[in-house]
Amino acid sequence: MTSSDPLERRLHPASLVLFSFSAITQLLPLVVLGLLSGKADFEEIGFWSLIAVAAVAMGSINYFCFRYRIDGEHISTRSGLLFRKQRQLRFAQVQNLSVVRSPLHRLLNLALVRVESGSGVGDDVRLDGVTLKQVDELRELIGGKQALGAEVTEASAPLLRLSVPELIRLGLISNRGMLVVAALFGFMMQNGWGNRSREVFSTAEPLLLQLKDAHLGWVGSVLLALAAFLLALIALRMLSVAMSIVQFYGFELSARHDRVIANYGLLTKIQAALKYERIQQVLIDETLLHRAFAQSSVRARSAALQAVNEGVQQLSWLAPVIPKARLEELLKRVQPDIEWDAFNWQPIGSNALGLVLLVRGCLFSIVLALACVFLGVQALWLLAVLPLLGWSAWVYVKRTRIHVSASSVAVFHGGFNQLTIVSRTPRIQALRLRQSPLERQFGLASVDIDVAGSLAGGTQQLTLPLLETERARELAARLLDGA
Amino acid sequence: MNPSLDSIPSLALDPRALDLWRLQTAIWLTLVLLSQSAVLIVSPLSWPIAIAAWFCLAGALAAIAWWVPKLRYAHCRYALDENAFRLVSGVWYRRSVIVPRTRLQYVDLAQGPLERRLSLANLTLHTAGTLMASVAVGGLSLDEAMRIRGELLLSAQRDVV
Repeated sequence: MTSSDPLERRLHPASLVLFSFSAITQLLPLVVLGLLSGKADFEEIGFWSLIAVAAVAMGSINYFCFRYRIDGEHISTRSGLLFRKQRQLRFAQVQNLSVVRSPLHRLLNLALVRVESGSGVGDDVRLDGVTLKQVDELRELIGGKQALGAEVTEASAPLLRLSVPELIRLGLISNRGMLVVAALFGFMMQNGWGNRSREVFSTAEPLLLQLKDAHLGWVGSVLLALAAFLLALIALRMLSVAMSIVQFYGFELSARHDRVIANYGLLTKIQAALKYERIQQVLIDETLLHRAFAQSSVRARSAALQAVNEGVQQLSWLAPVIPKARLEELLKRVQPDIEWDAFNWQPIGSNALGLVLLVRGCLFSIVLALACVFLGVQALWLLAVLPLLGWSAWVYVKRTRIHVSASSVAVFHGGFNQLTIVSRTPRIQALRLRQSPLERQFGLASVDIDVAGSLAGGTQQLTLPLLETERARELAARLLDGA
Repeated sequence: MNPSLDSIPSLALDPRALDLWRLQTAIWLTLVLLSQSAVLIVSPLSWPIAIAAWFCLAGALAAIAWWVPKLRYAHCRYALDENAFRLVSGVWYRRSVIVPRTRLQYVDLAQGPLERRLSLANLTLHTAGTLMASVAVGGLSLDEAMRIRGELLLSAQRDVV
């Protein structure tokens, strides 16, 4: 293993800094644990120097044990001190090559290159700390310069470019801020910070007492509550806007002969390429707010995971936000095999409404019963929601559509938040007909359609829901013929 | 009567699969019975009641070990035609998985100690998919499992992703 191979290379020496820095993130749980258990003394400089030394040591081990080698057809890596790992990837297998540059990378004038094959497990080869010149060399080796989009300035206009006002709109539409708050809340609860809520309340107590003294009356209290709610809502949306700008600043999607290339990011710059041929599924989101602004969001699921996004969502953004009028043009460009303007939309099973109403009714009854137990008879006010529940079920069943043809298969979930999922029929990996006991009673069945790519459960899966059993079987047979 | 989920001509699993599943269920339920016996011993119940309760429990568990595998066996069928491998299963939740032959990545054949004794085998079909990335069929006779594997591997040749 120690033979000196002339083709074998190390990463740039400055990447030692990158490795040490990533070691710190690995040590972070330890720091948090120490913080929460109260064992570690954080005033003491010794503790922090220990962490720093550990980080540098871990970083050095990772750096000095890592080698990569590029020959005619392969890229291979070896790493690890105790557990040695070697990996070899043929250039022909490469599905994706993405370049990520965090602020630290840019400071050191280095880049992280991720080479992905279709294994679906993530980065197959990860070179953290190569110079930009080496990035270009790599690109040239793997599929030619023009193929992997080294120069993003070509005569053809980009498919999509998002300006700052558009990113602000994206922030307003999407609810990223809420996600962060939810994650933060979850983290705090998990780490026992819920117990500290008493401290928070005791600091807020004088304020509450003052409010009590102000004698606002009924109307005043309601107005105050409303104002507080609105303020929170505005703050969340502002956070959302800020996050959108940081994540997608300078978003540009451009087309090469066989792939799209996305460039974006304010702090961490990302460049990623995705071959049209490798796109497995296209997801189009149209929430209530999207529709209010006449916008859509388009994501793609590819066989190579985490192609564009930093693992936040395991899907690639084709368009974080795009005016609805330009949607079809983009879709036709990235998936030319699909007849985007000639979908043969069919309704779902005619008994579906009965089933959805029954399921929702049962769930509602349980909630109502629990509420009555804990809150008393007042909880019967909840019954007022019942018509709304029924109405939303009716809207969902009436609007939901499926499409099956020799070239494509799609489902349109038509609730308040609409979602369209489209795959090419020849890309189907497996099919599953399924029938719950309730579905059996209603003579319905659902068809799950599996394609390669990242795993996402729930509504993100392509399922033709609640069809008459006979029709479900016919469609499955048709899809099997096309697969 | 509703049409059944999949009406393809299909084969039942090897009858010995029923023995295997009963044996496996019985082993698990014996553990349950042992733990519950301990609970009964330390419980404040009088001896005759505790013994009666033990027999009731043992009877119920024995019935489960007898009937549940039988139902499961009766509802499990498979078929291999020129296009695809199909597996129909589930008593309450019915499922019919269809794996096109051309989508197959590789096939696993596995045998546990009990399966070895009964000369049964477990066949797992792997695709490049996600939700149904692997489809497992337990309770095939070893010969049948090897036959299916051989036939499937003959047809899986081209690029599948």
